[in-house]
Amino acid sequence: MTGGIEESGVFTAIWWVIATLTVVAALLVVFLQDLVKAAMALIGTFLGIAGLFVMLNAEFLAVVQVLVYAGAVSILLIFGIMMIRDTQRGSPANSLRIPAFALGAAFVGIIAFVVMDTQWNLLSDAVLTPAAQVGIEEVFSDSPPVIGGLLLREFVLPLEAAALLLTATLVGAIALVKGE
Amino acid sequence: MVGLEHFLILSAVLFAIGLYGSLTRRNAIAVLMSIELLFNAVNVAVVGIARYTTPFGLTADNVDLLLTGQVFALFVVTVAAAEVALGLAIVITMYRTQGSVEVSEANIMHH
Repeated sequence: MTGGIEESGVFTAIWWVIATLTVVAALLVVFLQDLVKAAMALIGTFLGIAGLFVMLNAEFLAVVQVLVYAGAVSILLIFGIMMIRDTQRGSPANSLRIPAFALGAAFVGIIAFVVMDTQWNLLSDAVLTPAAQVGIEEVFSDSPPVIGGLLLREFVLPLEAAALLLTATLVGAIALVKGE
Repeated sequence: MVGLEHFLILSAVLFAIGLYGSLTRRNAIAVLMSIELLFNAVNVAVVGIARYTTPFGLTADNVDLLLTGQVFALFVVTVAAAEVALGLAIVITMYRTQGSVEVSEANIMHH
């Protein structure tokens, strides 16, 4: 569709580098005993996923990912880890290790099979008018105004629900941790 | 050449890692971190599908349909942020009342 960049070997190489880093960081999150180090690996995973969003032409989401996840969520988690001295003792795995591993492997196997077996209705194969082709290019190259329009028109009810959810969360979190 | 399949399988791998972590970790904060991995894995799949597949009835007038997946991912980010804030509040309350954040010891509601 946009052609050029995505067909090139450089794109593929960068994709593999980012994918490998993301998966390695995710494995560190799950296996590291020291929770502060695990939280650092989690930041690495978040940044890797932001890179994947850039490769998917979702630059706005990549920025949101860095701000909300790599910024706010990870700081919140690190605060939590540091407030609870208990966590510095490490976090050994429980007895579910082998069933959980089997479940994860089965999940990846099934999803891989389904993804390979599905006949995807790909955008690059679609028969479209030239005007639609131009529109697609514009939507992906300048997405924030379009996302804003969608949020305030088609998705205005979910947007208000999200605002209500955040308010309720704020009140709930304060009510939970407030002393007697 | 990288296509939709690559992103979907990568997303499945990340989801499986998060699933393993959320089932095997004993520490409640480590479980929360694994759940964040799950949310992120789903977002990669959603944005990937939004980028590579054709929405039903796509014409030049409604190309903004293509970004519906990104808007969906934005809502997932919102819910995940709310979840981690409330989850940490619960963990801190649990630490105050029980002196421990082991998931297996969270049993005061167990009869």
